[in-house]
Amino acid sequence: MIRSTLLSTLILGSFHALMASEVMVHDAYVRATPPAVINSAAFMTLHNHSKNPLALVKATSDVAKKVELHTHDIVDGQMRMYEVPKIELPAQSHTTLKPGGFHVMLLGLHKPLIEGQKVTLNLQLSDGTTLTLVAPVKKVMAGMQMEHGAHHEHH
Amino acid sequence: MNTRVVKTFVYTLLGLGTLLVGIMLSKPLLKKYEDATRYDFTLQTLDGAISLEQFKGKSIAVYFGYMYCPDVCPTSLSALSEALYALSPQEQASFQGIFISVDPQRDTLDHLKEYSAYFHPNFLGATSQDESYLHAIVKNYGGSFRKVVLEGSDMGYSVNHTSDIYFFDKHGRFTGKTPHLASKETLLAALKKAL
Repeated sequence: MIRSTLLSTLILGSFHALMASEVMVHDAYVRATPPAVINSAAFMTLHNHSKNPLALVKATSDVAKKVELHTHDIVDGQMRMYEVPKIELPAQSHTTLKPGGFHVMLLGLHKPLIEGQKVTLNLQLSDGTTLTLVAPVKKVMAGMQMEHGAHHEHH
Repeated sequence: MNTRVVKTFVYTLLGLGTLLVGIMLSKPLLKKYEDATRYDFTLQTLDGAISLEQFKGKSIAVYFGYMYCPDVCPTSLSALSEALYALSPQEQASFQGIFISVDPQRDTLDHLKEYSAYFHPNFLGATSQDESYLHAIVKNYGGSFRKVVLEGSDMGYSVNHTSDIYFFDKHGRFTGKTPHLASKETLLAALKKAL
């Protein structure tokens, strides 16, 4: 009896892990803040391994007063930044949050973010699961170098 | 008496004509004059008013943005400083970066100074409390910006803006601009052209 309960717990446990791992996060980082700046942004690549389209619908973090999902686009030559209700994660593909595009915006930071610190982010998905990740704080330039390849694809 | 007046008048005309032809023939000089008029500004910094004119003798890069911008502005300024750091210390010393805030409501002069210097010690931050004047300057540079209220967002408002970087040589002549999210190589080429 104990054995079977244990077994089912294990199965349930691994089932849960499987569900949670349908979306994997890679290369997450949060931008170190220049002096006197009270906002920052988190960038990452989200892989949706499932056959179902999902979406990132909400993000929270204890480092900021408010966390919002934002994007950028260019309208009449102007860079426009605005809040979006969700970030679509199409089935079996990856979505990249990067400078100049989608980002998790951290508004009203309680403290400046310094390179080397870690920030915990909770990402809530459209299927009800929440991913918790710990992202390193990186200087703008370090983050940029990481994305150098991606920039070139646009040109 | 009359002849003297006529003579003076003719000589003056001739003199002015020669000067004009001289200016017309010397295209670089004309460009210098045009650029100086078109791109000049008077803005406030924590350490006093500045104009583009006063940096003659230095190569200059100008960027318009705002400090609440978490993404595009720091990316552009970092890319610029990264390219600048690739130059020799002497070359860097002859360079002046100017970050002009189009959000004077939130970006104070002391914050602007600190923010700009973070990217490179030769960067300074400036703005004007007169937003219509800021609009006029940005327009002269061929850019634009617009304040947009973000409903429901803690940001309150964001400032949509063109994200080009403008370069000037030591004589105050405009040498070109780089587009939004330009690569380090593109920025380095633009910096070298302005040196």
